[in-house]
Amino acid sequence: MSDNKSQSAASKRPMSPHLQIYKPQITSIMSILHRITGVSLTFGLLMFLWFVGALATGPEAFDTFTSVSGSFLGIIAIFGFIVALSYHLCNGIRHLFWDLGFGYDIEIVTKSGYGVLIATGILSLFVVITILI
Amino acid sequence: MSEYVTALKKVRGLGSAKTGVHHWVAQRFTAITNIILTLWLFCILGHITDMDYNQAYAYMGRPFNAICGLLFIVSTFYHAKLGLQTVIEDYIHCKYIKMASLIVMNAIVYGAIIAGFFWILKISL
Repeated sequence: MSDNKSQSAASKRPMSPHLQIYKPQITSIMSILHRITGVSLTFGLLMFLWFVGALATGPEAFDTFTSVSGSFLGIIAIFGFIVALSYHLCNGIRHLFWDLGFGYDIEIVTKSGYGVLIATGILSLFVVITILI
Repeated sequence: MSEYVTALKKVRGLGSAKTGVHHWVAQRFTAITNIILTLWLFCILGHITDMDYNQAYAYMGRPFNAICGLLFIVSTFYHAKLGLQTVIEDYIHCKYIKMASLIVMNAIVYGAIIAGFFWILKISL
């Protein structure tokens, strides 16, 4: 009984609002996107490694790689890799400016956030075009 | 704060964790090198997608591309190691699973660096 009592007392203690309570904002969304793209880019790196390994191993291994990278899912993955890499690169530059002590006013944080989104679009579009040409 | 730190401690600059700011600085340092090397990757992506096996082999084997490839592999995989370490430490709270994840992650990253080095050197030498 005393255990139950202390448990219910503990559950009534004021709690800090959890993440999903907050309204999504560009600052928080971009922050978590930086982590999500960072983790997913590891798989892109492993795909690059597979490309290099297939190239070093021989024509047959290379054919296996290109049959996967040229498939529908492979092209989607490469496209996702380019967009994620562009985003992580542009937002990383934003982070480096923060590390130098610039751009902390909330207005500028919002503006630089939209700037990063636009730059991501332009950079990934540019890379996709250079591949298609 | 600094007045409570001895001169020797200030010089060493290691802080309470004894490894100091190495993780933080290395993440930023590799971030900067990654910017340049990613531009190289985007350039070769534009070229290599049109090539057959022999052309791609010769292209990756050029000294400039091989050196950039080696630098790209070290810089990006090390940056990934530092980032993944932070993510694992932030989100995995069971100390055994956390330790196991860190060991597996480090094994994969260092294995990838060694494999990438071997393959690129094999192509280019």
